Amino acid sequence: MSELTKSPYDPLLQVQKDSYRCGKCMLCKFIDHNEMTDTDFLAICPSGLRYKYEAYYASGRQEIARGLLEGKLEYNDRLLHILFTCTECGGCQVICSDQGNKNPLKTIVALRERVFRDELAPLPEHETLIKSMENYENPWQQPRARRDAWMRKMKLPDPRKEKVDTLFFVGCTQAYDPKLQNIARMTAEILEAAGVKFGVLGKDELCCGSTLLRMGNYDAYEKMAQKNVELLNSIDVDRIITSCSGCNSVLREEYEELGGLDAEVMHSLELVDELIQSGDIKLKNKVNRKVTYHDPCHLGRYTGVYDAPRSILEAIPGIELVEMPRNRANSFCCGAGAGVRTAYPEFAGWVAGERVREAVSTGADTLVTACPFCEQNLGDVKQPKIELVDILELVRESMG
Amino acid sequence: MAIKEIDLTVKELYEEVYTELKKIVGEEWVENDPMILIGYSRDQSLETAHNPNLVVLPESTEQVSKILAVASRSGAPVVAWSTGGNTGGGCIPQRGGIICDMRRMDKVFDVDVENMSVRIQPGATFGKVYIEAEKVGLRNAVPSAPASVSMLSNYLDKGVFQVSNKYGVGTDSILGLEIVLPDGEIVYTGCLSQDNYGSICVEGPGPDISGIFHASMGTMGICTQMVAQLYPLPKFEDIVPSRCDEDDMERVTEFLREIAREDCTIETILFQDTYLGMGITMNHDGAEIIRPQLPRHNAIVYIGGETEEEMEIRREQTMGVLERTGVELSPDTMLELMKSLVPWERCFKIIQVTPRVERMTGCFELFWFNIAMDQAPDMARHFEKLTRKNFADTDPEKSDRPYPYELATFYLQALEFGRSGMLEMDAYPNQGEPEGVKRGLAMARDAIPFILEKGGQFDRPYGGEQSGFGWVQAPLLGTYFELLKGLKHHMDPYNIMNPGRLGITADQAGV
Amino acid sequence: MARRSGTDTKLARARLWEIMVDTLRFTTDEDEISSYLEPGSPTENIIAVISPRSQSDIVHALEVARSYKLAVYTPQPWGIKPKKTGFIIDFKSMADVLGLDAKRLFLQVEPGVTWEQVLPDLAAQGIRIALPAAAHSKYILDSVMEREIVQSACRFSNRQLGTFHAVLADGREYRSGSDALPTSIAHWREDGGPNISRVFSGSRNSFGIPIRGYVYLYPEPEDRKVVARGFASRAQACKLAQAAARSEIGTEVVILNKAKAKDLLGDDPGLEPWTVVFGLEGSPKLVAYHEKRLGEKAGELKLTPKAAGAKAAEAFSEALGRPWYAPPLSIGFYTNLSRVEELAGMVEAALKSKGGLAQMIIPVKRGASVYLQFDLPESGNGAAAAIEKLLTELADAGAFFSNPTGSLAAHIFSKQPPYLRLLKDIKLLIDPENVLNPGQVVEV
Repeated sequence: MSELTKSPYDPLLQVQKDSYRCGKCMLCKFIDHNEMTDTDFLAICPSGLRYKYEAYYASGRQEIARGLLEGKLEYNDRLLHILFTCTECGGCQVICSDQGNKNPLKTIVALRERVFRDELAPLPEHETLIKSMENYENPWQQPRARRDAWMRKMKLPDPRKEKVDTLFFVGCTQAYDPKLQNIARMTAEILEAAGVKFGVLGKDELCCGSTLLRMGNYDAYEKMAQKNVELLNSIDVDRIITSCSGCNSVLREEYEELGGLDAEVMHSLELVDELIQSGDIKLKNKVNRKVTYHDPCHLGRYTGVYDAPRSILEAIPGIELVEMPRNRANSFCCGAGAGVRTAYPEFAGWVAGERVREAVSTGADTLVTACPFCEQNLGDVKQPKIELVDILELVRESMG
Repeated sequence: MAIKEIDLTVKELYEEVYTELKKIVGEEWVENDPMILIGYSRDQSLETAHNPNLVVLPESTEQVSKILAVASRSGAPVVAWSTGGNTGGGCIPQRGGIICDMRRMDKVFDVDVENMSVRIQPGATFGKVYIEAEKVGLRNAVPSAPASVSMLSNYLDKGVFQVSNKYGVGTDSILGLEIVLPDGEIVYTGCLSQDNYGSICVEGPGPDISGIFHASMGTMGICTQMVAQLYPLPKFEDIVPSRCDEDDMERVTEFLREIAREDCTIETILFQDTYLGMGITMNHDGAEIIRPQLPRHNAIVYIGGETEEEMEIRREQTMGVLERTGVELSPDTMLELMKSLVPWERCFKIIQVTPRVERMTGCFELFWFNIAMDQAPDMARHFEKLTRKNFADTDPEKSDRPYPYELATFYLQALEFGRSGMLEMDAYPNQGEPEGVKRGLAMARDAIPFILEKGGQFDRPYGGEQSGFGWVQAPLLGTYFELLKGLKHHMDPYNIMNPGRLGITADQAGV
Repeated sequence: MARRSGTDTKLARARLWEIMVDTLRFTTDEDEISSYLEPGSPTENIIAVISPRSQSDIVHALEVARSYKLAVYTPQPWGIKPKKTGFIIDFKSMADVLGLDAKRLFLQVEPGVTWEQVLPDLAAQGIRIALPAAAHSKYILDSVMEREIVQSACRFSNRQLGTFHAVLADGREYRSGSDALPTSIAHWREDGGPNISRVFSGSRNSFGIPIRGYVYLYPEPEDRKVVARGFASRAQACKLAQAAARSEIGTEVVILNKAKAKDLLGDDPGLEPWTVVFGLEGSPKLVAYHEKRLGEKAGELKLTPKAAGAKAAEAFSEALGRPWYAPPLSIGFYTNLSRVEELAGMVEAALKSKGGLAQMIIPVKRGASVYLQFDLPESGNGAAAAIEKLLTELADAGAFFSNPTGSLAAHIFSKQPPYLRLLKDIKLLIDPENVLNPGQVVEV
């Protein structure tokens, strides 16, 4: 047990070896050098790029972990800023795990969990989210009764009552955010038009628990996730799809630690791509846009879905796709993740501004993404040269 | 002593310095918070961690000059830190003090295509410069180090490159320097010593003082700008992988020498199976697939030319050397295997941009030194014995990445027509295990004296007192070391610039 | 500084004679002394010229210098300007080739070994040395310590010295590079730490007296062919030369005007106003390929060079096999290709009344820089004064003088006070009594 932590369980002990073995190669600061094309867009770590000090990069956070384990550091407010300006985008992880055989993201998550257990966290700004989760089982302080507001005008089956092969897991953000509810609706419309037999849980859908996990409240996350696993496994479907990248990564990856889901989990884009390829979705109308695609961290790096969105865009007639210098596994985070947008909106806005600047540099007139958090954060950047759209909007437009 | 005898406690001193530094760089760019300081306490070496007292991030030479003037007045040690990639403890603040983190000074100013040069700041990485140079058909000479490392620091530190046989070592690529001296004064050397010199690739003017700052680890001043040489980027390129059996190390050393004399290749380096596996595949799983299929010794030969015809002529010359020296061309199956593991273009970029990051156990311990080529086989064989002695009984099951430690690796690079060679020998202690660190230090205690005894020279005297080449070598250097001490004392009378380096004690520094 | 008393001088002279013991290695003849000095310099300040046989002789001579507060001078390209009383060391008696390693490509020489001395042995062993293109000294070690331009600078650069050993003013032996380690045999030029040894080069022996050096050798190529291409103008010649240099075509790439070519060849074999001489080396295929590429490059640049005849090519080939010496009145500096016309124009304008200039241009390190050399015909009429004025003007205009001496050195170094201060400090650190060549490069 470490000296400082009060809890009998110290999450840092799980990552102790990594924190010592960090070889300071500094690759965690940059995209894969073999993919570099533009010197203006080399950085991968948003907090490091903004705040510059070592502590704001994975390499520095490894040292903090080591310092805490050795009892050489005492908690202070600066620690919270260092830890919670990390969007947990996983950019540092790509190169480091591949070449360094280490897991820096795990160290960061462990640090957050530790400060939570030692009651240094949550941040005041995150307390609202956590209380919302306790009271409403969603982070948006919205009553459960309103969870199905997005689908009131649609008649969608309940998979517990009607046999379907697909469950559409909407997620809290698209369910509650008025600006994003149309994404949920469009997903449903597209699936219907393609003849997919799907259902939704409506008001009974539970939060995936991602918010709690990212805040460091692992115990609460585990409880919620366990509930969700039990609920989802009780429904007889072949697959579960979601249009939320955050839900996608949690359901697909994190739930494995809790036994996993029986059904196959995929992002809606993966299914849409299949349906386009099979001809079940017909893209008739031209959509004349020059687009660039932002890979959401939780869709790309966390679950490896890079090709499906690109395949979709290339299938839409009239679309010209240009890649940003930082794309696929090297995608630069939008700045919203892991509670950063809530706790540090100015910083989150700055990161989004960087990403939009990169998008503008491609000459594209449209920035496309596939994640509600990305859309919220990137959407806040006032940039007349480029329009932000969800990929499903383009699909819908082309379907007619 | 590191801090002048004044009527202040250490805490008060640094509070004063902190206040002064804030006036220079602004509040945002100077820190004394322990959470920030600890990020600068370690590097990849086995040197003990030490925290600085302050970290400051200047954005201009003028700010660096003012910072050093403050440090000089107060006696606070200063350690320059460009990208933190030093592998020999060079930027660990052994005596505390101020870390001068140069990363905000990361510009690549301009690539001079006609004269094949580039002007850079300390924070500019190899990768960044490579991209800019490639756009205009040029390349920087790249070491066997991550592309995230500072090019300026590496060149100043006598970096050795895959192209060193052809283009020399890091110091050969330095055309001009801008240095902030310990008292804050700024001096320019080489082509920067006058505004209108352009980029000139010869030493001078006059006695070349730039050498004082080579491999000095910031002990004589902080370099804030460099004009560096670039080289032609071949339009056509290929790799000729070659192999030799383990018992024929003499043969493959001879091959390297012959290739160097023939001067028909751009890069030629000798790798072992472990090293090559990691270098090509860049991960452990890939290395584990490739390693058993490789012979112990492999030579990677990179040929190229302006035209395909030239490249083929070079290939023919290379094949001639292979035949003369009895080294075999690696079979196509090996090439196919490598291509299946990684995109082929990446192999070139790996060699050109990010040659290798082998981190099998999280870090590695390196000893690199200069020798006559003939000495390489014996040195390497003895080194293998030393690693077996120090690591072989380690239980790989206890490590989360079991790897046979006795597989010491080395990397041999012929220099300048094979007149001499740079031999790097690596061991793989696990920093995550106290036992691993202990073994690594024991390895250093064995290896360094052995290398010196057998005629190896460390031209980069890395390390602190714990495991440093510099400390063991320095007393053997005769009059050179006497002059070095005198120079250090003269340039830095209060021994504030990265004290505890170059094998110079505080007493010897005259403080 | 007060002149030494006659008695002191006599005693010092006597001590030096005791060390040298041989009239061939000791002289006080005024005419001979005068030949080492800058024209017009008084000989009274020089008490003797000595030719030590060994390191020990030099150490003892330095002891005398220190005891009697004398300066020690070594030969300077434009003559010594002795500001302090002292004696001159000429290295002609330390002329042993200590080693010739054809495998490891080092030539170990004493300071009195000349270029001509070693060439037959090198040829016999099938190895070569990078020959000077504008040597001010017949001695190899002197030339390489001063980083003098070599004919093959395009490919091999100017750095031709591995390690050296020197005697410092206090008599201590200094060893550079890996030689500082008693066990090292690599003769690797980088020091075991900061490269302090670099201050010795370009210093005209102001920091130490070299007594041994390991000079680079090169293997003979499998095939070699010298070709020459003529042009009407310097600019055209430079274009082709630079393109070739950039493509790594040519070990030697040398641009000569007619006057310079005539100086080197002895007569004019009907050359164009400007000629570029290429020494092509490698395998037979590579040589043929390079020759072909020269033609292609000329075409790409829309140049129509005239190939010099076989006789001229042969003459150039022979010339490239011997050292080239700079005449007494000459200017040499470095710049970038884009400034050749401008700076050459300055020289031509300033010296047009002094007779025909022989000009040479050599791309250095694949054309990253170029070296320009201007030789005046041997004549008086104020040429020396004109040159002195021109040198400072050129320096101000950005011409890079790699190893300036005397007033030019003072002028250049004074432009950057911290640089000058550092130089002086290093000089005083290594030679606190300012014994070695005082005022020749660094005035303290």
